[in-house]
Amino acid sequence: MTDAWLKEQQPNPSEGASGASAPRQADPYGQEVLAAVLAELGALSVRLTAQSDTLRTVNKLLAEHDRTLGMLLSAIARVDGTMTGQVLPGIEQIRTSIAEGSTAVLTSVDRTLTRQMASVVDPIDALRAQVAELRGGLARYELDLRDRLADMARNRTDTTTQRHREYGEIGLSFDALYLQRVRPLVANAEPKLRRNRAERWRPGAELVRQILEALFGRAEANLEWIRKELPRQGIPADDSTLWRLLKEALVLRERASSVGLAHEWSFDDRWVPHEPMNRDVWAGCTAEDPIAFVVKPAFVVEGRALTKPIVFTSTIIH
Amino acid sequence: MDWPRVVAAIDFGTHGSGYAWAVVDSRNDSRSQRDINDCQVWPDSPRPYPKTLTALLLRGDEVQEWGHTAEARFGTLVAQGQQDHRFVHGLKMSLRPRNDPAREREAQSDLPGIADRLGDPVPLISEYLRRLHAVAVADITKNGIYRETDIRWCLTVPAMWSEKSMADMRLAAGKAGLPTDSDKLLLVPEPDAAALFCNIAGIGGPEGEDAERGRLRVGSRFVVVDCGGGTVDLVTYQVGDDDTVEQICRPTGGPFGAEYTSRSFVLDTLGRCFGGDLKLNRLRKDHPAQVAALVSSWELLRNRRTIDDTDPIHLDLPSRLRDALGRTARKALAKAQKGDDTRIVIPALEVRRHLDAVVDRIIDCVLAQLTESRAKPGAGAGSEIVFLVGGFAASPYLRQRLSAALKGTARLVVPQHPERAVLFGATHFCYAPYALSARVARFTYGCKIALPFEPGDDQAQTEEDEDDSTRRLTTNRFNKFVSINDRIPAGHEAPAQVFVPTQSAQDFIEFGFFASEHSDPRYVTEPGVRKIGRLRIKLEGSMHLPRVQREVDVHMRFDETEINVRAVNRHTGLTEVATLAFEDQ
Repeated sequence: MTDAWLKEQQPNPSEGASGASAPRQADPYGQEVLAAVLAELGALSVRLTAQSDTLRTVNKLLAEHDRTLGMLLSAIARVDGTMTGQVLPGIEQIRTSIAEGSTAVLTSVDRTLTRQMASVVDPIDALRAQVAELRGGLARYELDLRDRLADMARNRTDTTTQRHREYGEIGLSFDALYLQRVRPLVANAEPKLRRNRAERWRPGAELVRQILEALFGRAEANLEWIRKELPRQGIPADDSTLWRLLKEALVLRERASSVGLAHEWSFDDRWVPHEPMNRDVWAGCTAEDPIAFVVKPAFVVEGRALTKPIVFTSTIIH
Repeated sequence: MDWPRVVAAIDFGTHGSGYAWAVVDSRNDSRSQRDINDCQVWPDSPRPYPKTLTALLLRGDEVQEWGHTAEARFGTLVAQGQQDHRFVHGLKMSLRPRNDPAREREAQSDLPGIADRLGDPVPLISEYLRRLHAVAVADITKNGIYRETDIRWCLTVPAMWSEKSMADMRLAAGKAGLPTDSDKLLLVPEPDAAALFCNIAGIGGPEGEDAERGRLRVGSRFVVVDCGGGTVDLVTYQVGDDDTVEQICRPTGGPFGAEYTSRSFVLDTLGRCFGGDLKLNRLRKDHPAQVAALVSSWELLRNRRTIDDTDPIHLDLPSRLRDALGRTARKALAKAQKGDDTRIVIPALEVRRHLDAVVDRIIDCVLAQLTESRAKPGAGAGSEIVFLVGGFAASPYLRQRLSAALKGTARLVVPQHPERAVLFGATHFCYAPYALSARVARFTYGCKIALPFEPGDDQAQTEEDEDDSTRRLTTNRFNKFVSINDRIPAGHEAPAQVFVPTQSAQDFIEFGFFASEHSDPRYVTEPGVRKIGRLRIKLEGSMHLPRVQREVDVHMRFDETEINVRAVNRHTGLTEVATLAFEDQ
């Protein structure tokens, strides 16, 4: 991940995590340490290359020396039998000389290597320490980055959080209330409401719409309308289903308000599925007919419909 | 990815599937405060729910739609008279191999499985997972805050599944675009995930209070009853140190999930209202989407039914279905429902009958699990907590009846959002995979060996010992590594066992591994024993030794959802490994 990417992601420098964070350390993520380690590694690489060249030369010399020594020893072996008495002291001298020479060369090489190793080991130890520090810096960087990314993610408004799930429950309760309270209430009154055959389903749908609009369509439930209007439509004010409906509707409204997100019971037909087959239409209606009105509203939270609306469709225009 | 920045879980269910995710940060490190996101609004879904349908719409082998959209689109196509599409659901049921002992048990049940007709379900499951995974990734990476590579995944699998089914699931997940590395894709058994969720949710009140409100005490035992769509799964757990949980009893349960109340509703209630089975079957075939809408409304009201409700349940009859009923059936319906042919009215007694068909069996199962749990050492009768989770746990009727059945013996707790227990538990597991400390062996596991003939082995497979003609060998003996019901700590490796070849000329050993439902099987050929794998190791490098010194160590390791075996030639160090799985016959 590059710095440029991170900067692009900051939603607002004044509100983002960087604006609210504690004072920054001089090098919180070890970036300067990393630069120093890289520079040190570069210098070390040059030195190691030079030392490698030296070692290669020493090795070459030792190899030649070894070859010469081998030839000498071979020659000595050949003449050993015939010239033992005469040449032996000379050979012993040569052997001593070679041994001393070899020891001197090896000692010199050993000293050189020891010196050179010392010059490499210390920087390596220092680099190890710096790498450990760098690892710690990266861990701090990752933890800090995770927290910042999480802060940004929590600012998203399009995720489904605990509060949205509460609304999901409310949406289910609303659908259940519609099916189990509103529909039976109106169904009992429906025979009295029915008009001509072509429009026989409309009065029931209109009454359901009116009840739901009174209970859910405004900032406050319109109980006055319920009290006055329903008896006129054939639903007695002391109907037990009505009382349960009112009680449950008010509880639902209260629950929805207490969760605290923007929500509405929307009678707008923009929440109706475009595909007629996917529409929920009032019993007796034809899905493909034009939408006359929304009977049961969609329950909409932060611009997302959690439950589908039910619509009344008709070819008859009023 | 040393540190995931997001953890995500996919609950692949029989009836529905969903996903959930959580960001990894210092705030979410506290599991009781962890914010989990999920998805509750799915295209064409009638209502908010954390899962969409586990279903595909196919044209030939090509997937056209998935989830609720598959069902809705299929309904449209059927209405238009198009016959060249196929609606496939219940994919998960088909993942169990034919000889899975769990499947045999379910086959003996008087309630048939849901959809169990697919040959090789892996390609279709893979296609389904690909789409679900894509939606989850799009959700998590929206706004560019996270990238797909930041995510560690967890996939749920049923506890009753065999290792082969789990291996198939991992295969399907890999084909679907999920990671294949085991550290980037974790599998967790559903009850274990639900147990984590319950342990984190606690009992939500002052009782059992420990350091925090409602937390379960170390040593507390609880039964998780996961009432899903297709199956009900029960497992008993105990809270261990460091808030880990471990299984106490083997998972039990069976195919009597909430889906079966819906089947009963369709077959009995709709059959009655629609004028008989023939009519019902025609309507189901011609108007699948409308019947599904009716079932969805039934499920909504079913899950709000209490034990005291005496009102009937009222369901709107979709117009298309009403039109298709025909005049005679409509008249009969109106006559039975006080002139109303626009709704289905289900009398309270009939509702109770649909519910009891499933609830009675759940209660029996819970009581049996409690009895089994109390038989285990360390149990204190009456101190158990029964957590009710899964989609059907929302039902007040189930809660009330189960609570009454447990009265005085155990306490019933229904955590908030019980329908998300497995999904959220899997998310917690993905966040901290060490939270499960032990489980119980589902079978007795071992390998086939040859032993000297003993009296009573007459019916067994025997042969002459080639190295000693005076001796006979019984060649189908079951050599046990782990017994059924043994406690198996997470990542446990059974003590290594040493084997030698039976014949001097043998330059390899082939081990056959078996699982048995019995605690002490003698032969690998006896009933209830299934082959679950094989492993072959060469003896090169030790052939110069006497036969009895050509030793091979065999290790059996129990990981989260897999059993791995390892054979090591002691003299050469040569190692062979295999993952065990039930093999189809």
